[in-house]
Amino acid sequence: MTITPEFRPAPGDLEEHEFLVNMGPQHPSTHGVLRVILRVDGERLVDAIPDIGFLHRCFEKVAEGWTYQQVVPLTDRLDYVSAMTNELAYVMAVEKLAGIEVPERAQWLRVLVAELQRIASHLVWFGTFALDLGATTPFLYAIREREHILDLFEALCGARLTYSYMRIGGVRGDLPPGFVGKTREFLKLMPSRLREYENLFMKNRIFENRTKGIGRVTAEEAVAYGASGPTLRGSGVDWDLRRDEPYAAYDRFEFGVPVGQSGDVYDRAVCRFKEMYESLKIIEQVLDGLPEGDVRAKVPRVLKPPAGDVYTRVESPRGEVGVYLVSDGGPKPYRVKWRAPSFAHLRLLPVMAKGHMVADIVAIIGSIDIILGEVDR
Amino acid sequence: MHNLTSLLTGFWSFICGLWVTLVNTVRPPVTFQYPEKYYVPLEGFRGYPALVVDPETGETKCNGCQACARACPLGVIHIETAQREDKKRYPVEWRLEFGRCMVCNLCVEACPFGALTMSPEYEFAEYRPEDLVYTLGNLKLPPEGFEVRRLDGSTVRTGLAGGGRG
Amino acid sequence: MPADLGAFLQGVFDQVHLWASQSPFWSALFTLGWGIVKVVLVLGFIIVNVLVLVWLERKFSGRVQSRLGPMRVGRPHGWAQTIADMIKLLGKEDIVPRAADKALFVIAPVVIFTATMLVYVVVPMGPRAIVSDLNIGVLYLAAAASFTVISVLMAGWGSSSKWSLLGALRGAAMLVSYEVPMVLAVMGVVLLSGTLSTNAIVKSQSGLWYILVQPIGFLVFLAALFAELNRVPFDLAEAESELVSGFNIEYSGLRFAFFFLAEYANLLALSAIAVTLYFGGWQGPFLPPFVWFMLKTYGFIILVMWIRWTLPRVRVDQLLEFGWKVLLPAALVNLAVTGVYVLLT
Repeated sequence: MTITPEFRPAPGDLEEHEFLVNMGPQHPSTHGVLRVILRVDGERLVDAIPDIGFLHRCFEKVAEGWTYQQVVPLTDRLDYVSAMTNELAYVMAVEKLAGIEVPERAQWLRVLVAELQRIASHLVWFGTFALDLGATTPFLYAIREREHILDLFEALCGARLTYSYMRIGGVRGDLPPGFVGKTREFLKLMPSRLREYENLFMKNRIFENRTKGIGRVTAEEAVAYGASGPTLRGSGVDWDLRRDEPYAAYDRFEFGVPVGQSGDVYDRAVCRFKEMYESLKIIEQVLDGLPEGDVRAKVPRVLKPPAGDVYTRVESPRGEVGVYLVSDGGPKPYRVKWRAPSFAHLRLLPVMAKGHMVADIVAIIGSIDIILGEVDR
Repeated sequence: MHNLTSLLTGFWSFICGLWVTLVNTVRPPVTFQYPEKYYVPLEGFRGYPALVVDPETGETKCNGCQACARACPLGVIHIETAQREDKKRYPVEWRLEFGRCMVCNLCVEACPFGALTMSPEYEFAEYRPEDLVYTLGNLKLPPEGFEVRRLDGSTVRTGLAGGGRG
Repeated sequence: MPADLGAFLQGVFDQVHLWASQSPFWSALFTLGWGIVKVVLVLGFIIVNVLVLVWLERKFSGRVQSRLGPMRVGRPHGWAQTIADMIKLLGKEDIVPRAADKALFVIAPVVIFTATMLVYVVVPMGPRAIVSDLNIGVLYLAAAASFTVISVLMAGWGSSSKWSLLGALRGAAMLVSYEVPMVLAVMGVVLLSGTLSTNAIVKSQSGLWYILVQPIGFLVFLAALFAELNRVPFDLAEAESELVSGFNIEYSGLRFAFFFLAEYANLLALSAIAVTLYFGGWQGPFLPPFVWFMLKTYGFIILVMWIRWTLPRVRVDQLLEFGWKVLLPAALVNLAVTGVYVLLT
């Protein structure tokens, strides 16, 4: 279907029994300011066209005008639900470009906060996904448990959402007093809460009926569209950057990678949900073996990496966050290209949605866990 | 027969869910009434960049070296200095356009004298946008500091004279 | 004291009735006046209870979700929150979309409220506290309760919005699939009690509540009740996360207040019906009948809210499937077994 610049269907493009519905940009289930143009035949979707750009803030251009250090807090604003992994991807790129050695303790701390962030992000996903499917209560429970992590982050770096914690060459500061004990408390509490979520929602029959067989993506399609993270693994592709291309200190830890089979909403959801258990395992190992030492390497105040380009990628809660960084030898990056997983996944939306119902597109959008700040950048 | 068992397991899953909500109903609420009960931030909370007051002189430690202004990604810090009789420089105007500040802590880290710290205040609402431009007068932290929480549950007063954690 | 007052009022009523029946004119006037008094009483009953119910729902959902719920307006525990909300709604601008079918748009909230009020006619709140003890009470109930869907259709179509139209059509599609099993489930009760009059059904439960002999019938009735009430898991016509707010998306101010009022009035009415049919209505020891009736009704409402705040929403085709493939056979089996039982005893 072609859409004219005024977002009307081209003449003669709609069948007589079809009509267009604008879902968003103000819609409770589009997770921000996404607009999906739905072409529906009654309740059945003929086509779904995502329309993005409502949250565009020129990140890539702004980053060209700032020094390497100054861009770090800016990356927080891309995927604001998982700011730590964004920062990690960026500082890794700069470190690779400038050839900076990061102290071992800092690497472990990075893993620690990245995994805490993964749980926090998945909790937000779980809550909003349940909200999309009409269950209001799991959202409040998930947010309640996320609060423990946000408290930890607040003590660690003073912010609850845009952390600005990673620094080129390490992290901003060491763990505050009481952090390890509080994290252990959280590790003890969380598995029982996750089982509660399972009983409340993930094992609920209505949930299973709503999600099984919906929004199916084959492994080939997922790979072809550049899907990553739980969206890729839900389709049965066993690929996790933390294990297959370890960065920071991930090669020191034992953890499983949940993989689905059928690539439907249910499998993606279960993959994400099980990842929280695995993250808990990683956090426990970090706390047990945290090495002593510096948390930040000596980095010149005016950092001028040699000219060249570099690509780094990390496994964010949503998938592969990639940073392509070009330096011309000056104090500011020549070009920063951000590869956002949500953007790739959103392109899968028309593939997933075709033939399902209006109620299903809400479940599908929920299952790929898009963050519009990252899609639009 | 298969349908019947599926119906029963489905029904059982609802009972499990109802049990979870029942258990949570008995738990105490985690929210509280905010203005009546003030949320005490944790130690190190980043509210806004504020000037540390030297306990001996009662003046700021800032000598107007512009390191923070250069470190600021958004350029919201403006400092004008003058020279005292003893050749030391001091800021006559210290302006922070807080409406654009993103509280990234880079200025605090850039300061070589520990003259900047993050105030743990978080109530910034103003009626006029001009009021969000903080000047020397309201950027100085009160000498008695603020009450903050620690993760172990104790409350302490921030040691503002020493500056915040880098 | 209440018993004395009741007897006194009864005496006054009988005197006036006797006096009025002397001439046809005064008799007609008396019937009319007594009807108006009843309407006002029912209306007052509805409004007071809706105010309590909205507060209760918010408070209960707060507790379920580890929140406090409304606390600010009225101490303790924000009891005046609904009143404040109501005043706020009354002060809102009344918007009629330009493209709307004005007549339908304006009438729909009135219709839904009227339909809800019709149900109250046959709700027995005490041995004599019933507006009209129709001898076809249950049949009347089924007819009156399904009337709300017409209003949903009117609102959805009249708003001239695509979302509200989808919501309205969902409501219409749902209607048949839950209404039939619901009536069939109730027929089990009718078979056991041998009457269609609601008050007589309550009286026949003096020994044993029908929920104990009709558990399957009750479950079918409960499931259909959620569809009738437009509540999660069957709130498809509203479906906040899918259709934003479904059929009432374009309404604001007073008209929206009517929908809101009707929703909770409907909750109260159908809970009262459930209590009447399955929980022995106003019957109970020690306490006055009306108190028993209210206690049971509010207990049932808490159950409904508890389920509502636990489950996710089903999809529209799944509800139809559930209605036809699960509820209907279950209701039929229940009816057949009850019929055989009644035949044998």
